[in-house]
Amino acid sequence: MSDARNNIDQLIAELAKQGYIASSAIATTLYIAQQLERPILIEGPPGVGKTELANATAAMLNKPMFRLQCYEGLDESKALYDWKYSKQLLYVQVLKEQLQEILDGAEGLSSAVERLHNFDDIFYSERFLEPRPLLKALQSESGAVLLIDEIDKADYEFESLLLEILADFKVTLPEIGTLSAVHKPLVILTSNNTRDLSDALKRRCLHLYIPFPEAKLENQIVQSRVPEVPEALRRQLVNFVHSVRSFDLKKQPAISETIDWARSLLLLHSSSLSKQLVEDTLNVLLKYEEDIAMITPELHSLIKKSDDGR
Amino acid sequence: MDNILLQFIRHLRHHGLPVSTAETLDAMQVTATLGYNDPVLLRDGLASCLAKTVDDNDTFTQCFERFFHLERALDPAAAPNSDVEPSATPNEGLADETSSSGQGGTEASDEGAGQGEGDANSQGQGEAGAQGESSATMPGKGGGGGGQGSQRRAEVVRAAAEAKLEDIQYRTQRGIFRRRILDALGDKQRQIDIQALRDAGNDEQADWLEQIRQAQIGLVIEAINRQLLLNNDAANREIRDDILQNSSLSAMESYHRERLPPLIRKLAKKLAARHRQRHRHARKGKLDLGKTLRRNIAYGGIPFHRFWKTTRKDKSEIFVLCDVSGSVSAWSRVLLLFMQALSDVLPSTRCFVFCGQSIEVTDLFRQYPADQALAIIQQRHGLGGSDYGLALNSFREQISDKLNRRSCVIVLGDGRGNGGDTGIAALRDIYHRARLVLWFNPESHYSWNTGDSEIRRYQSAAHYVAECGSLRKLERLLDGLLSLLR
Repeated sequence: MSDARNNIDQLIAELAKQGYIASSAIATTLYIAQQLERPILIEGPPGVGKTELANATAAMLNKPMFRLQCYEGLDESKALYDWKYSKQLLYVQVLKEQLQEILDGAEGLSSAVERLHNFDDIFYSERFLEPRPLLKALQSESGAVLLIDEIDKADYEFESLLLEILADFKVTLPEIGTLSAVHKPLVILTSNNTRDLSDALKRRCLHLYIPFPEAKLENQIVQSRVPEVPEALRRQLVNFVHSVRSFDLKKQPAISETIDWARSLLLLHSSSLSKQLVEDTLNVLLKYEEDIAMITPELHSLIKKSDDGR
Repeated sequence: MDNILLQFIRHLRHHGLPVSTAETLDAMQVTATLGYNDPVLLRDGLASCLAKTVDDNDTFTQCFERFFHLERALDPAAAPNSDVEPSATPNEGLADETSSSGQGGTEASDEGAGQGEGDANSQGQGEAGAQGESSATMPGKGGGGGGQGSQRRAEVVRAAAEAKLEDIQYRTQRGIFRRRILDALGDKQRQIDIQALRDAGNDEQADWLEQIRQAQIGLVIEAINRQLLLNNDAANREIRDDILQNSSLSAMESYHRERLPPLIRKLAKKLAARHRQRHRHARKGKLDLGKTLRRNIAYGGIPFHRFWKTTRKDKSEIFVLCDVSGSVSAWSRVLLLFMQALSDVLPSTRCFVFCGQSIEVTDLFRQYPADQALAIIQQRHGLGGSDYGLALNSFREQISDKLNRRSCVIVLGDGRGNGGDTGIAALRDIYHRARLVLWFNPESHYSWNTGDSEIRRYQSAAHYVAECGSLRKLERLLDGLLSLLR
């Protein structure tokens, strides 16, 4: 069974090629999701690369990615499908005369209706269907990666709408019937855990929790994202961010902030952290006034500590 | 193999992880793809399909460590260094000799002794070569290492399964399970054999057999204790939770009270889940026909854009006033904890506490975690007897400008004002203006209106006076409140 391990190591390597440094847990879940054809529900604090994982996976598999950003009030006409009303309207106008011809010579109302019955329900056929991200992902010929971002922001009803897609990769449209996926897409849902998701949804998904990475992993991530940063500075700044995270902050600095900070330090042509420099750029890392006020008096010891951590 | 997985899932369920059948099937598929060889891989894989929240994840990790660590302790591959069985010392020559003589001497004494030993040796040798010191620490898989030990352990595990050891629940059941397992292992026959050998004067072989028997008993006891550790805690906890929910808080030891907060959070979560769906009631109203027609004149009356009548939902507010004086502070803690845990589904809630003056503590709960906030409240405001007159009057002053027909007021107290001012006028004023005034009384119904209790008078100024002596009663009251407020 060591081939499972090999496959997972390979997955990590291929994700790394896309600039995504995955931990073993992430790769394992992704591997299982591919094998079992299950959706993945990713939870974790903001900015740890939940959305990025979907991007990297799509790039790795070389498949198109469909992204559905959830928000309050999102409904099926924006997520799943809608009818092309204007096209329907146009066709009605254009076909009016055709209709006259067809009905020409019909005697009485009942025979006219009889003739009309012979036509299918053309206005509610797939031709008038406007696919939205969910349906697009199902209809994709080559398979796709479907990212349903921040599912916790959507309403409770929307979750129920998703169930059929997540379990069977099918959707039922009342006017047409059931449409199955041409090629089962890899579905990734992300959540910031602002509310509990329903058990029914969770049951259908694999669950992956991405925490803030360990120093070593974060070091690798910064290296892959901002390779120009000298190694000494990189270590120092990663250590610094790690010790900042141990404080009780309103918003912990995430990986994306670490990367932003590394970029800004690079712009300033600095080779090591100094108190003045950190004080000036702290607003890249921390987003709240209170947080900055809390960290500023500690800067001296924090910088010293990040030096020792080498 | 799957049997072990099922046992593990049982273990998880005991620890409160809601693992469904569908997830069990998933887990089986996961183990089929990943195999049992790599513990880290297995843990990550199983976690993804069995633990579905962040909290569950922690519990899962703990359970995984405990379960598979214990399994490993029983597992032969890890055993060689801890192999302290007496019979491990006789080297192969002796073992071979005794096994052959064992076969001769004890004839049909079946797999219990001689035969089994012989098998175990050859097999153990073969597999040890094949597997080497592979880190195959997962149970059942490993066959390497100490051949005799593994064979014997495997027998015990098999016998334990036969005796349905996994059903063991209480410490007192140990004796009966030991008996059953030993019976399944053919212990009686072995005792007879030993006696027969001794009678025949073959003491050396008898001692040797006796040693094996003792080692086996040791293994059985070890297996039983381990299973108890896995099961026992869970069964006990279920019973304890049940008792805690039904018993009156005043009769509860402080030791048990400390266990309340997690239980309350669990109950509140259940309540919240039950009411969330209804609370997010359809916001979209009916079709606004007039507006739709008017706006679509440009399209020849075809309803191109549709407009809906929106139902405006009036925001209601809940005011909670809790007595934190000595006699009822325990209930106040429970109610406040409940309110905090329900903050997701409840409309905005403001909490007040009193001994004398009513003091708003809503901000404390925002600043600190619930436990800490409660400690602070107790420390700052929790001294002295209750003065209802002062409390209700100051309460009215603070909230009167916010009170309207949608507000709901909950007062928790026993209505024993030590003979002082009752403040009934203030409460009546609140009663006339608010939608609902509830009085939660922790005292049992029978002791209302005895002594200095003024609860009858308060009854006239509240919509409902309810008894909330136990957690279950309180939960039921809040359940009713939530359905009312939706």
